[in-house]
Amino acid sequence: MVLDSNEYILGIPANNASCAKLMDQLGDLKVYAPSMVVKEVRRNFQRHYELGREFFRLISKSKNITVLWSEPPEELILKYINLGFAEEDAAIAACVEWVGAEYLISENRHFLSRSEQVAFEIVDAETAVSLLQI
Amino acid sequence: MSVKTKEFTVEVPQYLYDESVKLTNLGLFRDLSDLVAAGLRRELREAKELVEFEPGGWEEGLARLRAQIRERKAKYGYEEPSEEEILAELRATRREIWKEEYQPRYSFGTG
Repeated sequence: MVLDSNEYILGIPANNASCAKLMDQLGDLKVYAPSMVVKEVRRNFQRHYELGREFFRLISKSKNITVLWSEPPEELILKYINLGFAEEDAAIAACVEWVGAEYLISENRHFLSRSEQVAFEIVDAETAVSLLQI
Repeated sequence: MSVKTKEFTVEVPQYLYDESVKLTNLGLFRDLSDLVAAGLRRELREAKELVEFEPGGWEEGLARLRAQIRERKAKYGYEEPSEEEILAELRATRREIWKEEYQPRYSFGTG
């Protein structure tokens, strides 16, 4: 699965109960983290808590998380742009397809509203927690 | 005492080369080699920090980070923004990072 940046931002400080529950169980799941998501969360944690580097260490050293340092192929991004995704969201969706993940978990309404257009499931943390029986 | 140097060839995207020449011509770097060395020093510093740590479990790392966040919140009296505000901020950050770092790498990028 791939998690959007909002899952880490809302789940690590436990601002949202479902996101926090997902974070609690992340060590048991196979997770891919696009570099753009890592950078977003790092920047946010640095701005709010001065803990950007600590987040970076956590995610890049966790055994079950694979950080996607390479960018997805251009044609995959274009595919999602043509489906109506914003360029920056298309890059994330392209990463999900690129690694063959089954789920993209996000609280982003722009993603959730397009869940019927893609080959993978786009669900929020509450649904993911229920689907994964966490 | 002069530092021993090594000559090698690097291949970079055209836009990076163009930006590098522009900033070097403005006098921010002695020459292109100086700029490349500065970039390598910065990247190696970060990479070294990472390899100094052994891979660890998610649970213990998460617990440590949560404790650090609680400490910072208590110390600075940090007031958490609403979920809507957080999501709006993240959208802006994603747009910013995309434009700065990713969009120029693709041919459809408009800058």
